[in-house]
Amino acid sequence: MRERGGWRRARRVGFEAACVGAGVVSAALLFAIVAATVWNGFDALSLEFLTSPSAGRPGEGGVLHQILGTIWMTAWAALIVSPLALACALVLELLADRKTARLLRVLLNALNAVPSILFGIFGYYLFVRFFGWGKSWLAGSILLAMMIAPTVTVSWADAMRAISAGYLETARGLGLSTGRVALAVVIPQSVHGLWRGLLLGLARAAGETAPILFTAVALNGVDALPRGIVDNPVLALPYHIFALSQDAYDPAAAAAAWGAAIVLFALVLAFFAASLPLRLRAHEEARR
Amino acid sequence: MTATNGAVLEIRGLGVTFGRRRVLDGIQLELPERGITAILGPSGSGKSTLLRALNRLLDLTPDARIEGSVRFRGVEVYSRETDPDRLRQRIGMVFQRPVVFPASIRANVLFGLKHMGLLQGRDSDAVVRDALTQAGLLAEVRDRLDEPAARLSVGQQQRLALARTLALEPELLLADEPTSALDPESAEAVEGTLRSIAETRSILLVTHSREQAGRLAARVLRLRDGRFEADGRARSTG
Repeated sequence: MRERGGWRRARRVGFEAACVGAGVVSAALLFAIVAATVWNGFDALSLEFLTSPSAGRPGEGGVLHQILGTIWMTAWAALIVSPLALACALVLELLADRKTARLLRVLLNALNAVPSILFGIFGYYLFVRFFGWGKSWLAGSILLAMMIAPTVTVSWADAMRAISAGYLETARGLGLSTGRVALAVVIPQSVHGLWRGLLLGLARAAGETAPILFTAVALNGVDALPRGIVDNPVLALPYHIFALSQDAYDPAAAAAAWGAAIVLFALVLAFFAASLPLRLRAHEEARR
Repeated sequence: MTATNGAVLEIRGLGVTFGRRRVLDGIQLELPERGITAILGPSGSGKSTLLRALNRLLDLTPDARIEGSVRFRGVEVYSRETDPDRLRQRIGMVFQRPVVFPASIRANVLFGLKHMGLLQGRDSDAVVRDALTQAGLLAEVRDRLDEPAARLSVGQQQRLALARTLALEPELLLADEPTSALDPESAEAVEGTLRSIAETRSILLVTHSREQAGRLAARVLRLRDGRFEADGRARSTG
């Protein structure tokens, strides 16, 4: 008996040590990335860097237009994905039978697993060549919206699932149709799921280069914000970092790349931090 | 659209099956224009299923199969012509646990009317006052109609749920153990409300309590294993 108890204790201690070890490695990795980015890019940061456009030569000027372009493209991605995610989430949680809902969830997971470069190639053939848009910020926004659609949809659908069954039954009992129940109860009670999914999705979208590489962005020579759709690319932080990295043998370009990386990191962190209270609310709801 | 024999609702041979499980079988019942009819029975005897069959809430349960006839004011409830949403508005329902929406007391009373577009051209203050008066709650909440409904006691919330249903002016009220989650004082208040509602319309009350059925109902039926055992009576509500 004592032997068996000792073995059980050893297994528990081993399991706990493995869990702590995995946590420490993940935290250390994150810390290393943040530390390297701040260490290398801190000197490049200045008010001028944040408020002036980039100049002709790599590493000269600031990143104002890249910040604006990134926000512009992700904001439109949010606008595009929201109704799509709402429709999908309503189908998942309110309209579809169990089999259809399960199939839809599988498809969403599959879409989530598509490598981002494939979105880029698909977008290039569809928007740039087939529609003849050339490089267009809208193509980039649509592709980013497609890419984050599973995250936003699942987040919103989970929030809908957490709605008390009593609310739904009461509303139906009063005579509200499925559509009116969606408008009066389901959407208002679950909208925090949209914000949570959007902020997480946009945190990912803001840092993506592959989907916009061939479709939506330029290195320089474009206005801060687009004036149309066709042949109207924008500047974006991830692509700016990618392009500067290719000139990293030049110390000025490397410093500017690290500086832009800090700005991008801060942007992503802001999205993530904003989603935190909503995620905590979801955890609380799940525990109730 | 009146019933053929003065009954507001006639049930003939009603049966409900969930998958392979027979929950109700051969139910026959007529409800008068006003007064309380009580259904007693142990848990799992099919009481709540019966109520949900009458206003077609069972339509929302995927594996429920219904047979027989339910006629509301002479019109078959399960005919293709009957709009289930409109039917549920006319056959109001109060549930075991009070459900208030996360909004003000006023917004809760107006919830159904507002979201079905039935509030246009009506004096919403008058509607709120009238519904809360019928539910016996106005005196307690008169000065705080815009406060969150969640601040009310459970008993008050149940009467608010009643007011919300009554605001839609249902012709028949289904009450599914409306006092089982309440303390004795709140239960007494809700019973008083049901008694006064029953003066103008019919109530089908499901309850665990023989005493409550005796206090409130003109007619008491006992449901066991999906069938009515005996057609008894308690006493006149008059």
